[in-house]
Amino acid sequence: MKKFNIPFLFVLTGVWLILLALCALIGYLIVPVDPSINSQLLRLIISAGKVGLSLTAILIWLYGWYRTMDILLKFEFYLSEEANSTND
Amino acid sequence: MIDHLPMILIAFFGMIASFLITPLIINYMRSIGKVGIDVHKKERPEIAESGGIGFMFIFIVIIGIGIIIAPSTAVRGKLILSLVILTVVTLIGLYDDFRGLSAKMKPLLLLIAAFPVYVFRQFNGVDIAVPRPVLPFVGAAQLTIVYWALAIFVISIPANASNMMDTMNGLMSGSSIIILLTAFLASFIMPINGSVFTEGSMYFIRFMSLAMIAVLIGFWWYNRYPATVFAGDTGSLGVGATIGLIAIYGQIEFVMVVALLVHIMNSFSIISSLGGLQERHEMKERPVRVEDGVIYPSKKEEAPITLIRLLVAREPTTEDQVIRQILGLVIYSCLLALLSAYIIRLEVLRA
Repeated sequence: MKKFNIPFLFVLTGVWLILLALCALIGYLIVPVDPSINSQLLRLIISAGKVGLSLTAILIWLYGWYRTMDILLKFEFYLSEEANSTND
Repeated sequence: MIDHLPMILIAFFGMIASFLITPLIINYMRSIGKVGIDVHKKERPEIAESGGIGFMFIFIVIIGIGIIIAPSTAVRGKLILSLVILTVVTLIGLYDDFRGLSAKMKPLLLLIAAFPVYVFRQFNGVDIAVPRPVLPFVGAAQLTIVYWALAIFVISIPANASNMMDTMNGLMSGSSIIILLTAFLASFIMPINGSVFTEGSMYFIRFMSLAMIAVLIGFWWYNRYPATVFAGDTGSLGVGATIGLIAIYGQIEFVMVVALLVHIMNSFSIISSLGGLQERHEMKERPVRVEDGVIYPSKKEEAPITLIRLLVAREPTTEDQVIRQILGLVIYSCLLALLSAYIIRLEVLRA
């Protein structure tokens, strides 16, 4: 029995790094709207756009994570089964 | 300054109470025939079910005491709401254990259980749920709309993830102890500066996590390999909901998401491989089979991809070895969570 399961540790680290990258993106998006912009409509559009972008980024991340985990785990399972059949 | 002595004493008595009450629950469940087969053992022994009733009852009593000794209005408000939500979640778990709920009804009811978080955002004029998640590289983020859109899953996701992890002896209880210990340690890493992290939030994290760790240790003693009791949905849903409440009321959402990565990984792979939510008895194929105490993966396409199936696919092995491997992964994700807490600390101090 392996003491450490390297592929799973790699997957966990990968997901964690994606989470950190998403936080950096949100950090970039939530910079306050430039107060020197005179048009109220333009400021409203920019603010709404930022909320929309943040929401979209989170939804893409949720969906991407869901799909990536699915593919990664299925791939891992496929590799494991391949290894088992080779040993047989 | 947070006074730790009362919470340590309460937690200690909670652990003793949980240790003493669990054998009584085991005897009672056996007497009414509430037993389940331990499918991962060669002998397939009958094990008492719904043992989570005992430690959840003690935990709810502890929260009641916590409300009386709460150091501030904000903490009292958080504890009152936690008491209400956890009572509802425990009742949902009880109903599921004795009558059964469909795979879709359970998460739906857990979504409804999170409603008090929305409805009661203030207590006696004091904010108790702050829609400003503290993120690495960002600090306290102004994401009010997005926050409340995602906060509805604060009970449902951790409770279901904890429930899906409760498949082997001591796995749910052991992994939850590690995750709650991470929350407890994270509260010491976060800087109490009054604006982002308040003393009330940190008190809430420490009180709730310490109390749950204590009652879980008392239960884990009987639930560990080879188990004499299963937690049942009452226990697993209750523990998951507690982790969710600590995340949202302690403002350590990001840290808890990272600590729960293994649980979420397991849940997502099951849901995606099945194409939706299904109860165990509804699955056409079991993910693993047991021969002479050794666990083998199912080779069938329609079997759900669980973490256990993936681990034994690499090398068929015994239950205790699988448990050790998964707990090792949980410890790793919790180390990443503590590292995340430290990154958040640097950001908060810099701001």
